[in-house]
Amino acid sequence: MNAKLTWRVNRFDVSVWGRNLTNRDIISSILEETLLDAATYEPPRQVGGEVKYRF
Amino acid sequence: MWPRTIIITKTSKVPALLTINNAITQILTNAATAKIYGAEFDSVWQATNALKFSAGLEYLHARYSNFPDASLDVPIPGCVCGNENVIGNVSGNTMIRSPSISGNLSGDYAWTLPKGALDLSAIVFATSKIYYDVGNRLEQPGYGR
Repeated sequence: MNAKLTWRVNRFDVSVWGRNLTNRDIISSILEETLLDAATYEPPRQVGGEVKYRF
Repeated sequence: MWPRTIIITKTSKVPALLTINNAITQILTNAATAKIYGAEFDSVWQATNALKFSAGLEYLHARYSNFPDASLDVPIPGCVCGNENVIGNVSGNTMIRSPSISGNLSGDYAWTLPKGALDLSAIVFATSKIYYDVGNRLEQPGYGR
């Protein structure tokens, strides 16, 4: 689950967000190689914030 | 709700890793033919002025219909010592990165405040099994998140 809460006021957007909130281990790609199979995973749970200003 | 349907039969390019001059090199190989068809449904429900739901569901049938000479890396039997490259027939296998069923559900709620507005949105996504190799050996099981 991804979620985002944004407060829009005047020229500002102030947001907090979360990605992969269930923190699942999800393979995004696998490379077959001679020595091994190499898996790449999607990022774990992430939370963050951002501020935007419109000029 | 509007269904969108695709029916395609075409030649498909498939990435393969080969060792050339002692360097692992990715090349594009040619899967002779592949058949892809499916349907996708998207819908939006404006429940109230402030609350909106969206949903999407996709069915996808994607198979290599004729791919008799695929380059495959398979585990060397009898040891944990890596893979060996073999040529195999993968006709009928599911194409890479092609889940049979996938879908999403999202909700969005907006409040008008005395100063500005507040918007809350959330989305969940679910998919069935995804293969990452033409031999259908390496997979990400179905998941929702």
